[in-house]
Amino acid sequence: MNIDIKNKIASETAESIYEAYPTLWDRFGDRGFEHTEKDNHHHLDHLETAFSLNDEKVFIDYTIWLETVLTSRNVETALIIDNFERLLEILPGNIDKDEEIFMTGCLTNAIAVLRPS
Amino acid sequence: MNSKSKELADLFLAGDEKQALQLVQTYLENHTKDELYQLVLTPAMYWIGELWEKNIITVADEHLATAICDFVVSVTEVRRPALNSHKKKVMVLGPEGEDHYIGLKMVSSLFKENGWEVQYLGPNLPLDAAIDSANRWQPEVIALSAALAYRLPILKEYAEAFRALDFKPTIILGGRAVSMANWTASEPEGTIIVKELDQLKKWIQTGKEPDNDFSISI
Repeated sequence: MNIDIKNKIASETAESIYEAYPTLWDRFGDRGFEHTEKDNHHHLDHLETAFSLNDEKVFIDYTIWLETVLTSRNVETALIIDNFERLLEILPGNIDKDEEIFMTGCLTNAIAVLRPS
Repeated sequence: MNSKSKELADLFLAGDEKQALQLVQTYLENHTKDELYQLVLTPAMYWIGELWEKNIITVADEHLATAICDFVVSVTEVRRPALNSHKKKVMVLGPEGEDHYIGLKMVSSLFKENGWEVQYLGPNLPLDAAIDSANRWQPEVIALSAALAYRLPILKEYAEAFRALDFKPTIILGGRAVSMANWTASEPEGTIIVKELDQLKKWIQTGKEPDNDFSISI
């Protein structure tokens, strides 16, 4: 994934989250938006790492760590799931097919880990 | 986590370098340096990382704790005088983007304690600078580490570049990201994966490679 694509995906995903949940502006402000954009870079970095090492566990471990970090800062798990679902929508067509298959698999399984049973 | 680590973590977070040093020096009266690093300091720093994850401490608290830990490691470091003119040489560094460095300092200290000449180049070192330095100094060993999982690809890139050097250094890979990795492929000859510091100590002293039930494909 080249850096331009990564920047585009991260900023479009952050924008769509804040459009869907405008109360996030009141809750977290401009800084929150910037964090969401940065967080999406981290999500993509970990997806890339998992892909290059052919190890989905890298992304699942990251997801578990991320949930601790974000929920302790008042970002609910549902928002992380929503974010990952948006990545599932936006990734196809923006990255190579083999990356797409691997990364959508990672995201789907990560969502299953996050979703209350 | 053991009570000694917890006590030390609290002193680190309080910025109490005097008490922290005293605790460590008392511990060293009955324990080795690698026991201190592996059983006390490392769990203390991992615990501090977890407190940040849970938003119990701030990043500023974490930086203060790191500074005190750094001080303690530096003060307790043993610098052995050269026993002969040709000491073995090791270069220790973290790849570009990786800011965690306490583990690198512990590794440097362990090598020094065992009579090696150490060049500690710190974290976040660009590859071309690392290669340039390695070519000039020609160490027998290059040790590098990564704390965060998404540094593993860059660690792999560095390891490959070092392995291609004419003087064929041994490459040692460690750090939290490496110890948590869970791949079952064999590493190429000349690359050693260390999960814990005592594995490194054993390798330094006996040349015996860690018998990990995991390894990463580099």
